[in-house]
Amino acid sequence: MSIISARSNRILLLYYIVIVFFLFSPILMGFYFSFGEQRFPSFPIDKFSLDWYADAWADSKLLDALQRSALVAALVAPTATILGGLGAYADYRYRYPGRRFALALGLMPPTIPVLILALAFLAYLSELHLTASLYGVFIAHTVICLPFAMALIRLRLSQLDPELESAAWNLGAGEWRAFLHIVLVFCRPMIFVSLMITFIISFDEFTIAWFVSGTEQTLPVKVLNMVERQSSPVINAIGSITSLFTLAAILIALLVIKRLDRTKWHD
Amino acid sequence: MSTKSMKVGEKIAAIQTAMMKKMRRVSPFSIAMSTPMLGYQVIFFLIPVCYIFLLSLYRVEFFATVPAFTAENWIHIWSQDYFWSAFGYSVLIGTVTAILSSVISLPIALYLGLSQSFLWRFLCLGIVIAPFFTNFVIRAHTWRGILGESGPINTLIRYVGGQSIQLVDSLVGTIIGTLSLSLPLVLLLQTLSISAVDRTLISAGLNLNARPVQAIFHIILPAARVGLALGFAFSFVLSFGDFISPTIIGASRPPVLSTLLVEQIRGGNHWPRASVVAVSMFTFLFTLVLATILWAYKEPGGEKK
Repeated sequence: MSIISARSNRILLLYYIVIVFFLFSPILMGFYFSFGEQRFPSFPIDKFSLDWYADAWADSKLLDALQRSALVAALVAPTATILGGLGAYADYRYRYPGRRFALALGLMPPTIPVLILALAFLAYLSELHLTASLYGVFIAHTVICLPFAMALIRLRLSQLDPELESAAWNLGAGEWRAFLHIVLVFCRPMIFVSLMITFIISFDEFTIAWFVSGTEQTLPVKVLNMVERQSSPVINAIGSITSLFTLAAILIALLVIKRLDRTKWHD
Repeated sequence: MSTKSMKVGEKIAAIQTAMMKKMRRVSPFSIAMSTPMLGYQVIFFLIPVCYIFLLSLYRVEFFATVPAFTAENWIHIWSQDYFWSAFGYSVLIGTVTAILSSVISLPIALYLGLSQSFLWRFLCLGIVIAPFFTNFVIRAHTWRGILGESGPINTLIRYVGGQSIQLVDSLVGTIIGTLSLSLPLVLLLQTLSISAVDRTLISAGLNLNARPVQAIFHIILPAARVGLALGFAFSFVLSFGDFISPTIIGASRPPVLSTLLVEQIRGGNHWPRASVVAVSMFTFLFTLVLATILWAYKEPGGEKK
């Protein structure tokens, strides 16, 4: 029973490739532009050079910004994964009043435009004297990364038979022990995926960091400053490196998810 | 024999009630599991978002924001013509992007959701979602290069003897940017909802001599309605509120709500007025998304809940 004929299947595949090309064109062309010698992106490139990569590497402010982004992301990833993971587990295990409220609160941030969140964080965190610092960026990024961790781990938990844990309780394991030996072990691959995803979301996030970081600019903020001053292929050079990094992280995450037990993934 | 099986049944029932009790029991463990996320999101998400509602009523005196309870920011912003024109352009960008991304992604969602193996579907979805996670400031900057005067598109047009077209610094460029931003998400939501449609429903339709096109429009799309509506809504939200594409690709021509908000912060340093813009955007989107979801769940026909 196939609703799509073989011929339409081929046409659809071709169409799919066109759309993939559209989605990847800014990444691929950024890569291409980064090797051009001219200051303004032009097509085709007259002369190839690696100068812009050398320029990026020589820019100490740029490297500082890179370091800040990596630092924040490295702190956000475990924090968001722990908080989101606990939220997912509480939703999986317990029936309590306000459970739906907790779920909504955990998953809602990505459905609100980041600009609105950025203003909210700026106003609120400045009351707490946490703006113009990386602490503020860390706190705010944890809020927006946590939902992804929660969704991923909740998805994994839905494949775990709840009776397994209660069997462990009946065999005399305490709640903590059963959690550590059954739930945590079962979720381990997804925890790894969550760490990678939350890391790159924080690493590539611009708007909130722009509002909250002050002079402690992260890499995306630094890049916008460069874009505003003058279009420069250095941006393409940085972009190429960070995009490659992000795509590699996504690829690894996908491979890990693919290897998970698929018993409940099938229809 | 029967008493023994009774006992086993009772035991199972007892274990199940014990489990149910555990699911509701309050213990140090259950509190340690359920409170951290909730607490964090209340303190650092719910309260900040509520705070901008309050902040929109504050007053700015000598460049400092002071607590007050005044409607003057609301009156000031809402009486400006540029606020309403910016609002109109934001709605336009959101609507066009949501329609385009929904229509563009539907064939792929049908292709991946209906006829492909799990592995192929997973791989193809993974590929289209990957760009979503890369830095959008950098992607928008490269779009400028692609769409610009000396980019590949205009070079090609001139090469075949045409006049180069103005794509950057305009609504067209902005929408190309927001389209590339929201398309991966729409693709994901549509494909997941179409692949979740009950297959027996489709084969029943085909057995009743429905043509494939009829099956798609009368069975699959109504049954996958919630995912399609969510895709449309999220695409609208993303492009309506996006700041990067209208600024970098569109060069704020014409100004939209998000650029207006940023101007209040960066230029005017007037947080209460920025809050008015933010709260207006938030309320509008919230109403719209809620209405979309309610409509999607309510519409008769298709899969019964």
